[in-house]
Amino acid sequence: MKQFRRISAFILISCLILMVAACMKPKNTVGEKTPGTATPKPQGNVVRDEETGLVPMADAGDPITFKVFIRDPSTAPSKSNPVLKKITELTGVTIDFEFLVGDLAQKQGVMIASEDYPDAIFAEASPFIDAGAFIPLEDKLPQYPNLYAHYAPFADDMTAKDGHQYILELYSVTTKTAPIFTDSGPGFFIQKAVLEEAGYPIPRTLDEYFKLIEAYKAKYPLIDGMKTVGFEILCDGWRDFCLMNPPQHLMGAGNDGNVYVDPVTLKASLYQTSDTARNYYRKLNEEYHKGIIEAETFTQNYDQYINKMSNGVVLGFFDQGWDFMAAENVLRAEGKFNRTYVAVPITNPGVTDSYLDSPNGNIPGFNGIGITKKCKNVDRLLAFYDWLLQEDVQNYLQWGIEGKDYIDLENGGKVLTPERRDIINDEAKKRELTGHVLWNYSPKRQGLYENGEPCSPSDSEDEYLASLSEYDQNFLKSYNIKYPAQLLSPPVVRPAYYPVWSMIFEEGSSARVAVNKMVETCRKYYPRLILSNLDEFDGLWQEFVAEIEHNDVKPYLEEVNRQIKQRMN
Amino acid sequence: MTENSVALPKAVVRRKKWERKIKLYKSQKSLFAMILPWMIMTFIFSYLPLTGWIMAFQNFKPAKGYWGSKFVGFDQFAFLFREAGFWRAFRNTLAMSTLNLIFGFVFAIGFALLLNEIRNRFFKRVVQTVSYLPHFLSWIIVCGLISNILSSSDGTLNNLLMWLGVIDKPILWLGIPKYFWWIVAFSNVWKEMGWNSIIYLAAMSAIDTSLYEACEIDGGSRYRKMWHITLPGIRPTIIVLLIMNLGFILNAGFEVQYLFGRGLIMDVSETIDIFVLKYGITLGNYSLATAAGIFKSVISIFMIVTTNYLSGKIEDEKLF
Amino acid sequence: MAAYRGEIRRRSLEPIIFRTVNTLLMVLIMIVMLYPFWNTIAVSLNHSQDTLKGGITLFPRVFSTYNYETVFSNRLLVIATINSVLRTLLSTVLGVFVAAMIAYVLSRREFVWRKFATRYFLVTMYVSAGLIPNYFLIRDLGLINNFWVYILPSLVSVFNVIVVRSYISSLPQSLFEAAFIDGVGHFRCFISIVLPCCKPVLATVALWCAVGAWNSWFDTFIYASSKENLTTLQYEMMKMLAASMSASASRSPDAIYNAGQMAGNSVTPVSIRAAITVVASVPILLVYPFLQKYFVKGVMIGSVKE
Repeated sequence: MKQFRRISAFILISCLILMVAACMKPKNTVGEKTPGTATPKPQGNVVRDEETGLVPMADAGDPITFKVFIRDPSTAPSKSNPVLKKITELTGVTIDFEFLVGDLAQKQGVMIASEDYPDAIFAEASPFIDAGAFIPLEDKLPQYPNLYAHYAPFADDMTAKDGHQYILELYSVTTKTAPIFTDSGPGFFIQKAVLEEAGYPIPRTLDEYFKLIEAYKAKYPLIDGMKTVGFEILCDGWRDFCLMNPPQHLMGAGNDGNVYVDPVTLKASLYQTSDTARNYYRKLNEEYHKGIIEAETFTQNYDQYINKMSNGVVLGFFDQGWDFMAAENVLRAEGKFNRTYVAVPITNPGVTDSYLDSPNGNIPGFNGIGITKKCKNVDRLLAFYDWLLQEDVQNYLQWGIEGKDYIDLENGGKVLTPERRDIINDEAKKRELTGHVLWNYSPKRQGLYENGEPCSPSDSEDEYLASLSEYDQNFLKSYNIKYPAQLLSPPVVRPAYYPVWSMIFEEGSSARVAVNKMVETCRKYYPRLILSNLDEFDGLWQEFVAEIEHNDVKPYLEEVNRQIKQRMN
Repeated sequence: MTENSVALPKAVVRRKKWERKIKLYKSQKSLFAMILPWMIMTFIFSYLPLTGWIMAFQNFKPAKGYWGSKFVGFDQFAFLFREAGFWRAFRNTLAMSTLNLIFGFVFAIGFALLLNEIRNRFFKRVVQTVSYLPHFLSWIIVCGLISNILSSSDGTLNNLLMWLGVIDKPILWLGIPKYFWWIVAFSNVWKEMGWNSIIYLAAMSAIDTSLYEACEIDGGSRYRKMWHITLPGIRPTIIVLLIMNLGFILNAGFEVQYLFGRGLIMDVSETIDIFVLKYGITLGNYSLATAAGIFKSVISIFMIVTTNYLSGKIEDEKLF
Repeated sequence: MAAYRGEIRRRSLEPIIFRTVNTLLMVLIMIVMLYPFWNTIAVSLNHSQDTLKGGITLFPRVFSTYNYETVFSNRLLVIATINSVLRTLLSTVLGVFVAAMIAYVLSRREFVWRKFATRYFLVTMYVSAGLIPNYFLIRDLGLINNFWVYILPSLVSVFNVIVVRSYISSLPQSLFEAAFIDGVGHFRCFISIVLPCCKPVLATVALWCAVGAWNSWFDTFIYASSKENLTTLQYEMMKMLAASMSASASRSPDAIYNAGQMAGNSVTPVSIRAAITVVASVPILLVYPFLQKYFVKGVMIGSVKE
């Protein structure tokens, strides 16, 4: 007993001590200016930093830290990141990122309810705008030439309902777009080996697509000792767009999410109950009975899906490029380039495909950073972002240092050095040795500069071509194209309302509830339709359509049509 | 000659009663001192926030707070009770909870009883430690493993059954509604049996060993000892845990059903929590979530009051 | 006494059969229970890209410590561990003490408020206001970004109270009577009699408190995420896990735009999850053996002479 008391007393005392220690102010590593480095105040004569050739900001000697909350889960780079240290040295500004852990809706609800805001937030814009958390920026932007020039073409899109501009958009803010090399969005993907085996055809219809797969599977029932899988359909949680989205693309639309918008009348309708959809799922039903589709595809989780793909045994699937990248990386790392995938232009007969999006000169307008009313120094932060947007700073962040990280080519382009490529391909190294995180979550240049030079390595054609494997080079040569995306029709400039999935609906509104129910019905019926006996299909389809119509989806369609009209004006 | 031969005036009677009461309270002041601080704490942390229940009657928006959000009466509740999906979720939750409860108790107690029979202390400790290892794994990991085992292309279970000749084609276990609740129940057993048995083992260690000796002398077998000494010995623990867990019956969980839930089995896998997630939180409708929470609380209280009453009548053992 | 020889033989055979079967059963259970954890360790020691191909069961296919290197390269790991250890110790010691105290009071049949107090506490187990009202409360109490938010709200656990109370009720009354006759007050009785005699259940409650405190990250997420030196181990682990998942499933348009770049050698969610499970579990798993000595049978013997 005495011992118990002694132990507890000891614990209580030691934690009191530790608590006091823990509650003391954290050492701010911001003020870590290295005295004596080349950051003199430029007066008249512009003094450039030796290493990077960049011009420091006027108040570089006055350190300040801004806290920015980001809605993506990610890891913040450590303070020892050399690029970030250099940026801090040249500007005095340190950005302290807080990334999301757990559920965004809950975190946002709590932040708004408490008004406990950081200096800037990149999350869902409308709850914060409604709460009055953000500062209007339209009066301040003209004071910052780079920011103003960057956003001026999109001023309309950036204006919220109340006439103010709150958000510094982070995506697709570009007037000159780079070519698209591979389809990183939705598409019917097929393994390169299948196309190679068939003599490099370009399938354009579902029938052609599946015939190729059937032929290859019949010839190679095993790949590397494991059973070949014809066609996979991912149904795990929110990733089941693999199951739901194809019909709209078959009809020649882009990815509008849950509706098909008629290109002429601009009216939204449900494609899920269309003839295209019925034919699509009937086709899948037939393929299931031929053994091309396995029942397991409906119960497996994402990890199992990637497992199969990483082993190179999956011949085809419908997915979005970024979703299965993990598997492609494994295949490439093992040199199995013939087992990687390429998107093919599958549509209803006679319809032009439009899988690739071209920026339409409009930006979503709400996918960016809002500066909160709790920001300690709005002007300084804007000046910082303005400074970041300079071309040579962007170059430094995206490409690195000339000679060490990249090489200038005679045609004006750039390629990365092999060392830099290694760094970029390793997630941890990219985070710790480059300015990628800072660049990604600040106003940034993407696409091409006015003179046609690529902003980043992913926009650079030279870089893309230089990083191709020999197999891929041969593959492309056999099709007489420069990059895989050219198998598809050129990127389509979308109308102003696009994409519907980015539309914001009022929380808890009947529109959202209606679309929820519709999606749930699809989730329930599609697998059953595909797995049904051939003669049960029609009856089940009628049941499915009846159920959709029973759950009145009109509020949703009306709201969508209303917002389409609004965006088009 | 009794004390009460003369009727005392009412005021005096009342004062005597009052004095007696004060005396009673005073005599227990140490007990009060030992419990009052914690009652206050519970008031602050558990009762005060309940003012937030007003959210269930509003169209709550975090930006507007309690006072600014629109009052909508019972609309949120109406939405819940109108939805066929909600009642389906209610049924699913009840079903899975009941199965979990039955399986959980039977296996945990059974395991504890058998473990109690192990003589070798070291072996006993090792088994016990290993048995609660799955508790520390997240459901994501456990569900991933179970998915692999139940897989219809080269999964362990299907392979075993085919090898034994029980079936000739693999079964899509996770795609057939009638198996789902059983899969959930067994997953829970796998993960929590060891952990849940700890409290029973603790209770067993408190049983007076002289009782066992007496039974031995009377010629009692192992099973008689279990039935007549061990089980009755832990009976209060079992009943108490049973009643409390019955109160949690609408908390069948979320993670397992979320991770395994797919279109094919949606109708049986969706629980109240998942329903609330889909139609509440994700849509920014915190009010709906609060309304569902109130509903769950009402049912829970009803459950424990009922089972407590029944337990008092049947087993003569009450929780409160 | 055996009536005849046959009976003796039968009697002495049965225990052997039972013990063998029981032991085999226990071994089988051990294998089944051990497999998931073993598998997790194997996955954590396997190269992350290779794990994506599936099929890892008992041993790593391509041995790699990179997953652990990633976990340990977290710069907040040390402070997170300190905070986790601290809050676990505090929560456990205080939690057990408080639960036992309340349980003792509620077990006294003569306590005037017995029924009322029991119900008062019980109700709180089944009612909850939800995230936002709780947040307001914590904020109004000044506990946001404060270490004590890890301890105070969860200090009173009614579940633990009820379990301990049930145990105390099963103690022989003579124990207490003897003490009261000697003039011992309630508090002394609690400290000197109840606590020592309830070791098994208190050890169980201690285990529950410890595991609960050690595993929680949601409170860090909601109440203390902006103060770095209050972070806990589980929260840091969650951050890393979430970050690795975003590398393979970013929903922001950025992923679509930048997907031309190869996603790189990120540590995959499966691998990092395995590594952080091991790192986060091992410390708390060491707690139980420490508590096991309290689960000793016959702890009551000698307290009271019947």
